Order: sequence, then structure tokens, then C-alpha cells
Amino acid sequence: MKKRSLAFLCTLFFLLSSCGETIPETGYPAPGEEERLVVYTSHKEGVYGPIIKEFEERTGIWVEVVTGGTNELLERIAGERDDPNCDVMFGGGVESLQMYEEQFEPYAGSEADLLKPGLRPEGDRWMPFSSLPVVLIYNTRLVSPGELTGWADLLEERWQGKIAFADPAVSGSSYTAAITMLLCLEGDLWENLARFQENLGGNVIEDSGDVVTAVDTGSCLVGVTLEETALKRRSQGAKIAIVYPAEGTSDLPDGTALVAGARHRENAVAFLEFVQSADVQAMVVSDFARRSVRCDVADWDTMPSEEEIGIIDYDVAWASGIKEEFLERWSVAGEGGKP
Amino acid sequence: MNGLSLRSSFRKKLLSAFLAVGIIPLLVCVFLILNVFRLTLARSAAANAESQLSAMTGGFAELMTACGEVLEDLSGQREVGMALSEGAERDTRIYNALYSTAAPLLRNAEFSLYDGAGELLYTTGSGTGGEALPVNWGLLAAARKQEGVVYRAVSPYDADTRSKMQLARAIPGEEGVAGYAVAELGEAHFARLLEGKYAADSDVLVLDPYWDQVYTTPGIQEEGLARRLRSSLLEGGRLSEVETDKSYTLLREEQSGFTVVLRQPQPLAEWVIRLFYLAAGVSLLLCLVLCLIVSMRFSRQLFQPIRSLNSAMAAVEKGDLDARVEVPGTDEISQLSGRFNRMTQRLKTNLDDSIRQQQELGDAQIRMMQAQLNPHFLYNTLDTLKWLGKIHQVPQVATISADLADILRSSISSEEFVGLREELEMLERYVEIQRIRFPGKFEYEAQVEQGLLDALVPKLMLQPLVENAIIHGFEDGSHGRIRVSARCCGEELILTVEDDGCGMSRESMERFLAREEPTSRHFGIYNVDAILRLHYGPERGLAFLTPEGGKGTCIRVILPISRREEEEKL
Repeated sequence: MKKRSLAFLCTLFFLLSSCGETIPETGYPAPGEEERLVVYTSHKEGVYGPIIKEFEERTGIWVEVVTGGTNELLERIAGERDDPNCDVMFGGGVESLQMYEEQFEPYAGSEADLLKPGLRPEGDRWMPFSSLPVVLIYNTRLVSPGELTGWADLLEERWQGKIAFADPAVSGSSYTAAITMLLCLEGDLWENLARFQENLGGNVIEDSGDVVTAVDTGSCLVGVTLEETALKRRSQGAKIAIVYPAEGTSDLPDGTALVAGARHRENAVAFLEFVQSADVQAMVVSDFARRSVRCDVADWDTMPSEEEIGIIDYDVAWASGIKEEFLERWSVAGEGGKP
Repeated sequence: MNGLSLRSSFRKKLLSAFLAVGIIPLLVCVFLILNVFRLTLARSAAANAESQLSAMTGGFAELMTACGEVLEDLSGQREVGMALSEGAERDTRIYNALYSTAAPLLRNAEFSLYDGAGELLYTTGSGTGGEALPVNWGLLAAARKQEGVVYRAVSPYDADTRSKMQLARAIPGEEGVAGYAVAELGEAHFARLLEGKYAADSDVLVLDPYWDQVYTTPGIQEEGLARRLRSSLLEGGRLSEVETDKSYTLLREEQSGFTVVLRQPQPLAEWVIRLFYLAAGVSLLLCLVLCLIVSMRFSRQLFQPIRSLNSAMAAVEKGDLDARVEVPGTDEISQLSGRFNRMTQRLKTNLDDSIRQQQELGDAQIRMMQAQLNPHFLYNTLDTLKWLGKIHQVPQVATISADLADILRSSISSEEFVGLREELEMLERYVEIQRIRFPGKFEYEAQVEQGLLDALVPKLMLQPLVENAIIHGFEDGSHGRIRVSARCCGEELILTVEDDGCGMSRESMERFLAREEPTSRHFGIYNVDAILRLHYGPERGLAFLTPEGGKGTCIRVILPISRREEEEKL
């Protein structure tokens, strides 16, 4: 008897509480899995924003964007290996992508033969997005043109303590720059490193983005950074000039990679094709002050061509291989160099 | 102890019953009211939102259609196409065409004409020319590839434009696309479009087909709300979870694929619900206290009379029949108490009666035994007296002694009943003795119907009656006769002892009839009466009749006839 009345009360309760539910939201349902794509990107919003927006408009695919630092996102992809959330890794220097190459599925792209020579990677684990030459910069008020011409100048005493250089232990692009410099200089690799570090005088910048700022404000006279960064900041009014080193430089690209076992592989492939398409590459040049990776997309007229710059042969695998020894010597020398 | 458990169980039952009756309906009511309240508010808010949204979306759709028609119209005008493909000097004819086509919508949007390279040539807005749009990217690229009008949100990354939304239509030329007709909606246009179509406490967002923000009303201050709504949609969550105190309703405009989102405050604010719960809690508490008090009072009222009844019963159980219960009112418990009182009263009366009967029987037996005291010694003495009388030639002494001895012998025998013959014999002996004592004082006569001599009667029943007649009937010294008769009437034996003496005094008669304790007088007839009634029942006692001639005493005894054989058989 009691049980029955209890059951009755419970039923009443449920009936009442169910009718208390709020009304459903009108509108249309969320897009299905076949209309979705998850992109991890280390690009700034100004770069990925317009590209992804245009991709959505053209394909009708909803893109979920997860932003973060290159290494953070790559580690996350490695952590999600068994059940990948990410479909495409968009951005990140190719050296970093190379280190996580087993997380990616090889994909070359339908227009791989239109890439500039030397940019298509072996094994096609990633696709180049834009090429980023390493350049030297100087403050136009404090240094006269012609004073800085190449890598060798950075070892001269007159710049001691006045060189803006990001910590290669933190910044991937700075490590690339350091290796490029060492490759371009004559003489023993590690000796040159020690001399360079001595010349830095313990003045190492934590964030690669602050290199231009340091030169612009005059706290440093010269600096090492990427052409793209320098051009962008110059167009924003920074008092800097760009020097393409006489000894030549590297133009390692950043890349886009297809995550192995991606849930939305078809859409991911569409995205990869899109970012390497002429339309996007033209925008890379026009809006982002970068160099296209395609032969058929013209760079700015003001930019010297790759032949004029003298692009050196940069072996990504080798550079990755010596990174450990480099950082060891860097930290020892860094400690020794400080008073 | 007993009372306590009775009390507590009563309390408990009453309390739980009261609680059930008091609290459950209250709970159900609270619940119902809250939900009805909530549902009603939600319904009305939903209906409200629905009407606002459809008004806004309707207005938006109308504007889209109208703009689309203008663009179609422009693209169909031959001179416009020609002018754009030639890229000639700005021509007032084209301006006239542009303004007249867009005339009804000049306040609702800006219209422009771009050439095939994306260069702005004519505009109704503030553009001065020289601005350009990319033709292989974004709006114009889409317009070129697609037949008809395309709808695009303006990318927030294009910092140099004030417009929020653009519509474009390619204008065909002789070779491919000659140019583009573009309509633009800015902040002010949206504000104008939505003005007065949403409630003051609501806000509106316009989202593009991929849920990127196009426009928000000034009420939405926070950045990135559209982004949060978008990720909520993609994660499959509810939009109302984005902000707990807001509800979202949305409607998609099918032509452009843009979505209008209405943000309203939740119909039932958090504090109202809290207040409601508080009120419900207080009334529940009140109800609880009330139930407690009422149940205690009830149990006390009900329990008090039951307890006194209970203790009275316990007293009766112990033998106290004087226990009584107070009868306070007329309810059921009081009726029960009254019945109990009457029952104990009746019980007590019955017990008293039975005790009195027992005592009477005992007294009669004691008297009988006293009468039998030491009869052997008396008998032997009498025998001696008889012989002494014979030896000394005093025949009366011998006769008296012999008669007395016979009477004694009969008394000694343990039989309670004797034949009428023996009884009369015994009476004869007694009369003989009395004749010697009172010579010539009375005459004695016995009349017995034939066949009744062996009928059984209680022993020594007639003798006290005759003695009563001799001693009291003639005590004034008069002379009289005593007659004993026995006759048969059906199955009954009627014995009559009659004298013509002075009769019983009125006072004695009344005392006897009231069966009061005998005085020293008439002791014999009391005994006989008692014996008869004990043997044959209370109605078979002595009966006094009016004697013949109106003088003397007539005592009648009616007994059922029984004989010795029957007695033995029985």
C-alpha cells in the first residue's frame, strides 16, 4: 500500500518535472560530422582567420579552430594518437613538424609540382605553406646603410651586447637562424657559436617577437629575425631596415600537415588543397607579407628573388640531429658568458 | 508503562497521519504551482520571442529580397555593363541609373558598382573611388563563380570597411564578367532594420551561415559571444548554457542563410525561484508545527478517557467492583464508560445475591445439626426413664419416654426423606406426648387418602407445624382441634395442617411473609419453610390459607409426589 502510494508520488513528480522543462530552442541543428573539420593552428588569428572563413564559405564545411603554441599543439596531437581530435595541423616550422612526423599521414597535394624547388619535403609528411627567409635588421637611425652586410659582421666586436637575438632554446625560428648563421660562416661550427655567444654578451631575448621591438626602440642596434616579421613591422612603421646576408640564408617554410587517422579526412584534404591553392598563396603574399611556396604566384616586386638572396642548402634532419648538442653548448656558454 | 506505550503509539499514528495529510498536498501544490508558473512564463516568453524573431527575420528577408532585386536589375541594364567593361570616365548616366534603381532602398543599404578588376567606380555611399575588392577572394570571387546574388558577412579582418554585410551580383559583359553590383549593410542599416522589433530587455545578434558575428545590438557588450554560441552549437550543447541567466531563440533567414538570434533574460530569474523556495520552506515548517500541535492535542483528548477506563478495568480485574469511571460527555468513549459502569454495578449485585444464599443454606444446616446433638445419650436415658416408669407403676412416664425415644430414633436416622406413613407415625408419638402434657386441651385427627402413605416427604416436616399449632394456637388456654390431611391432586401431594386456635398474629405473619430472621417464636415453621424451599425451589414454601370457620391457622404444603422406588430409581 505504502509502496504503491510512493510510486504514485514519484510518477507525479516525474510528470511535473518533465513538463517543467524549458521550451526547445528553434533554429536548425548542429552540422553533421561530414560537414566538420578540426584545425589546430599556431598561426596568429590575422593569418588563419580569413583563410578559414573563406574555406567555410567556399566548401560549406564548419571549421573548429584550436589555437596554441606549435610545440603544445604537436604534443597534444601526439597525446591524442589513439583517438585523434585534430584533423589538420596548420602552422609550425617544418623542423617542429619533422620531429612529430609519425603523427602525420603523407599527403603531397595535387599541385605539388608547382612548388618552388627544394620546398617539397621527402616523404610528404607535411605541405609547405609559406617560405620564411632569415634576415638581418638594423635600426635606421643608429646604423647607417652598408654597416651591416652579412653573418660575419655579427661576430665583430663593435656590435657586442647590441645584437637582438631570441633564445634558440625557446624559439624554433631562432634555432633555425642560429644554424643558418653557423652554416654560412666559414670555420669550425662550435667555435663560431662560442664567438657569437660571446658577442651577444649574455643579451638574449626570450620572445622572438620582441627582436624587432628591441631594434626599433634602439636598445639593440642589429637583430636576427624572419623576413615576414620584419616586413610586417616595417609596414607598421618600425624604424628598421632589412639586410639579406651576403653569405646567403635559409628559407625554411612553415607547413600544414594531415593528422594520421583523422576523423574528417576528406574535409582535411580539401583544406590542405585549399591552403596551397593559388588563391590562398596570393593572399599569403598580398596580405601577410610572406613568400609564396608556389612558382606561379608572384612575390612582391620589392622582395629580392631567392636566387638573389642565395638560399643555402639547409638539411632539416641534420639540424634536428644536432639540436641536443647545440643546446648543451649554448647553455654552458651562456652561463660562462655571463659575468 | 501500559499507558505510556498506548500514548506513544497513538501519538505516532496521529502525527504521521496528520503529517501525511498536511504536507503531501502542500508539497504537490508547491511543485505544481512552481512548474505551472515556470511553464506559463516560459511559454509566454517563447511566444514573445517567436513573434519578435519572425518580425525581425521577416524584415531582414524582405530587405534581402529587395536588395537582390536591385542588384538583379542593375546587372540586367545593358548600359551599366557597357560602362563597367569600358572602365570609362565616371558617367552621370550610370549614376542616374544606379540611384533610380536603388531609390526605394537608399536609406536601407548602400549600392556600388565595381569593374571587372574589383575597382570601385560608382557608389551611393561615401566612397570616393579608388577602393577595390579582391576578385579572386571573398565576395567578388563568389559572385563571379555563382549565378545570382551572393551574401557574405564582411570579414572582421578587413579593417578598412565599415560595412557588416555585403551582397554581390556579377554583371555579365561581352566577354565574361564586366563588373559587379554590390549592396552593403552597415551598422546603422542594421540598427534601422531591427529598430522597434525587439523588446527593451532583449538583444539581437545576426550571425552568418557559419555563425560568425555580423552585427549585435548595443546591449551586447561582451566580445566573443558569437564564438561561444558557435562552439556550444558545435559541441552539441544547449545555447542557454552559454549564459545561465539568458535564453536564446533563433531563426534562420533562408535566402541568405544568415541567422537572427534573440537573447532574452530568463523568464524566471534566479532570485524569484529562490524566494519561492524560501516561501515554500516556511509554509512547510509552519504546517509541520501545526500538525505536531494538533496531533498532540487530539491524542491527549482521546487518550485521557481511555486511560481512566483502562485503570478502572484494571481495578475490576483485581476485584474492586466499586470502581467507576467518570462520564464526561456524550461521545463514543463516554458511552463506553457509561456501559462499563452499569456492567460493574450489575456484577456486584449478582455477587451479593449469591453470597447471601450461601449463608442462608449454611445457617439451616447448622440448626439441623444442633438438633441432632448427642441423640444416643438422650435415647438411652429415655429408655432408662421408660423402664423406671414401668417399675414404679407410672405409665405416663413410660409412654412419654417410649414416644420420645421413637421420635429421637427417627431424628437420628440420616435419611432426609421418609414415607408419609412414618411421618404420620412420628406425629402420632409427638401428639401422644403433648396429650399427656396438656390433657384434654386438643383433639388430633389425621385424614390421609389411600395410596399416599408411601409418598415421600421431608423428615420431621409435619411435627414443627403441629407443634406450632399446639404451643401458639392454644396458648390462651382454649380448647381446640388439630387436623392433618393429605390428599392427592394430579401429580402433587397436598398436605394441610389446620387448627381452630387463636391463629398467628398479624405481626408474625408479616415477618414470616417477608422471610425475615425468625425470632424465638415460630422457629419451627421458619425451618420447615427454609427446608422446603431449599429442596423444591423458592415457590414451594409454606402457604397460609384462611381456615374453615375463619378461626385458627391453616398451613398448606404442596409437594410433587414421589415414592421410595422412584427415589431409588432416581
